[in-house]
Amino acid sequence: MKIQLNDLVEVYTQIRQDSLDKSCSLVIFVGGDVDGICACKILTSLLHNDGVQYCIIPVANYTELETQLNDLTDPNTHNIIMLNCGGAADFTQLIRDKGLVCYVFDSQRPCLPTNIRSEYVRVVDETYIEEDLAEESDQDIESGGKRRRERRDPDKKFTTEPDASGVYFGASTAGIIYELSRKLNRGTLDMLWLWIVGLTDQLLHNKIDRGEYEAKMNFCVNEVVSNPQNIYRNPTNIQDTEDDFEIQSGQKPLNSISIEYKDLRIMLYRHWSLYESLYYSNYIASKLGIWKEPGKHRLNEILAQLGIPLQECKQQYRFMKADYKNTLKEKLSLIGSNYEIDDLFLTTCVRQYSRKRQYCAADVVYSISALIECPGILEESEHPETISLQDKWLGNFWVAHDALLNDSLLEQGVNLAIEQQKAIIQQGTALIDKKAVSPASEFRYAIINSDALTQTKFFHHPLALKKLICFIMEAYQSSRKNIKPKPMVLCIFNSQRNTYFVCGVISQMQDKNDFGWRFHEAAETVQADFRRDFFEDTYIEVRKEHFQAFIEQLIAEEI
Amino acid sequence: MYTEKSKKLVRELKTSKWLPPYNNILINEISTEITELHGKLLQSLASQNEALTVLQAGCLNRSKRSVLAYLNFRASKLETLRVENGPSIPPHYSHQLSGDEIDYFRKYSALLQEYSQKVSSHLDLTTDLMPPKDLFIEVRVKEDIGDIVLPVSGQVTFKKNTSQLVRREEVAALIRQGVLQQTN
Repeated sequence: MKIQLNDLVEVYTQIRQDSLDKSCSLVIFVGGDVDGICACKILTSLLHNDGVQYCIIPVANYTELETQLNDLTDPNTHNIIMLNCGGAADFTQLIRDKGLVCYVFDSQRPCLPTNIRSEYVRVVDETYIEEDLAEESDQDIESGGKRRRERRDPDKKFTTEPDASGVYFGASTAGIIYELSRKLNRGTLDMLWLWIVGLTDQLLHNKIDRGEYEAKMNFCVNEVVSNPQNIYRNPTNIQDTEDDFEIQSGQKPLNSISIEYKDLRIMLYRHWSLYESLYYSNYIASKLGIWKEPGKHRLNEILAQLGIPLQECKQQYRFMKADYKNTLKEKLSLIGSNYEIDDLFLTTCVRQYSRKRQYCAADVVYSISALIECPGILEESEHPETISLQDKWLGNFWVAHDALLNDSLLEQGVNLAIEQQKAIIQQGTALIDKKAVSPASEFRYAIINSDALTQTKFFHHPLALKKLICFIMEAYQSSRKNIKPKPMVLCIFNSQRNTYFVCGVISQMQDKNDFGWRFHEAAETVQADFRRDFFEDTYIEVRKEHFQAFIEQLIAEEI
Repeated sequence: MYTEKSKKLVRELKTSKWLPPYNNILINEISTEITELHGKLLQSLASQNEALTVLQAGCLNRSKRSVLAYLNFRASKLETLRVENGPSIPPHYSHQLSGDEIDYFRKYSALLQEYSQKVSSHLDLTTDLMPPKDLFIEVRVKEDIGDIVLPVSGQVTFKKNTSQLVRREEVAALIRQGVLQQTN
């Protein structure tokens, strides 16, 4: 069953009523991405205020989701909410057997038709189109082989079912939940901020394109301006000396959100030195070709033209002289055009987290995603060596969950993100330098065969791998003129699991990612051992022995 | 050096996480030292050596105060333990205590119970003195507990590494045990 945005308030009231009347508890499953965590935070603060008892269970992939669903033995549980997971798998049978009702908020589209048809699964869809279900099912049978595999293996009912037309992403889940809280007249500044972070996450992880982001950001901007709690817009007593200081120093009242219509697209520059953040930014690095000597030379040239001494550039941006900071944007946009750096600005929002630090939405996304995928263990523990991989992930998930509105944890995440970004640029430039990226007819691909270096450990996680691919694609795009934008596939070996982890990312020109289906077809054809239970259907994990055949098949399929 | 041993005794309290094992040997040594000092003090009083008298009396008092402080600190820790952890001593704590201390704990516990029954039969004096801000709190589950039945919420499943919204007063004991952790 599909739920339209207009009916969300009724759904929420229903859930609340169920919980209060029958004292049944509510289970919330959260997928491991930034948008999902933001959505979870907004939703739980709503539920908390209503006194609805809930239980949050983080899940990393469909296999875990299935085990957790099977483990639900509590007879009081009646409702389930899934945030950024569950849209692409068929679990209607399980839900029905247990007598549950499941509400799915998943930004990945399309959703399985079986889920939409089922009475017990309610999928929230923001697009206001009354799709004729009968028509859709006809289509399935008509185009049979290519469109959808009808064969269903009872053992594998939980692996996502590939859709040949590819996956794409709808509105951010955090946005939808914020919409709900707004309709209930209970939107707070924190929730608004979480929505902005969720939206930025979609942009940074290549889920939506710039145009869509800008359009949605406009809504955010309207909300920020009209939010009564956002006292920055109307400071009460300017005469007050303390406020005066705040205005002079560019500091805003605590927790206020302010809009930056032209923020630099330089990674984490508020928390890094200007030189390094320019050096390690995807956009600047790929435009200048930073991995070669002329590229470095050009970066120094730009800095010289900006008139900022190297000594100033290489210290923390926060401590740079105010004169330089104030004129930076203006000068950079003037000089940038000489170096084909003309797409430097982005509308975003900045929040004053503490007296010391401001974070823009992108900083938060980088920090949180680095925390989730941190190769080490963040939580304090008595026996760090005995922790299983899954427990480690869960521990990191909760640290990331807490960090969203916590200054000191976020700072820890920023440091990790800086490390990760350095690894991305080093690994990416190494691949380009060694000419390890090979062309196939419709995409480019590269294979990393060894994970001996510590920096490659970052890329065993989906989000980091995706960021690496995005950088390589961007670098390729700007390395030669008139080069055709192609999707990119990257495979990385994991010695611990003895598998290859593969991800496919599409170029900005396309709007649907069909690598999930292509991977599935290739792996099935060569009868490889594979795992495809990721929430985002663009990944596959293939056993080492079968990998060679798999990649050959994947390339051959194109021709 | 007089009072060196008593200084060591008091320092021991600082070095351990909860309480150090009851140091019977050192206390006995200090008490012999005090008796010895007392003898010398009487001698120097008789010989009317003023400076020596003042010094010896000071040392004696200091040692006595240190031992008393040691005992008092341990006793107050035991009282806190009773309030926080209920009427039984956790097994990993019991071997840190002397026989007398265990006896003290039992008697204190009995007194407390007697008093709270006298005031009202439903009153629990050991709950938090600060009024809660919120009826519900979010807790993170640190260890697998499985299904437990709570007075108001009924059956609740606590699975490791999940977060739950629960009634505050129902899980206060579990939070003190460290099985659940409150998040803000």
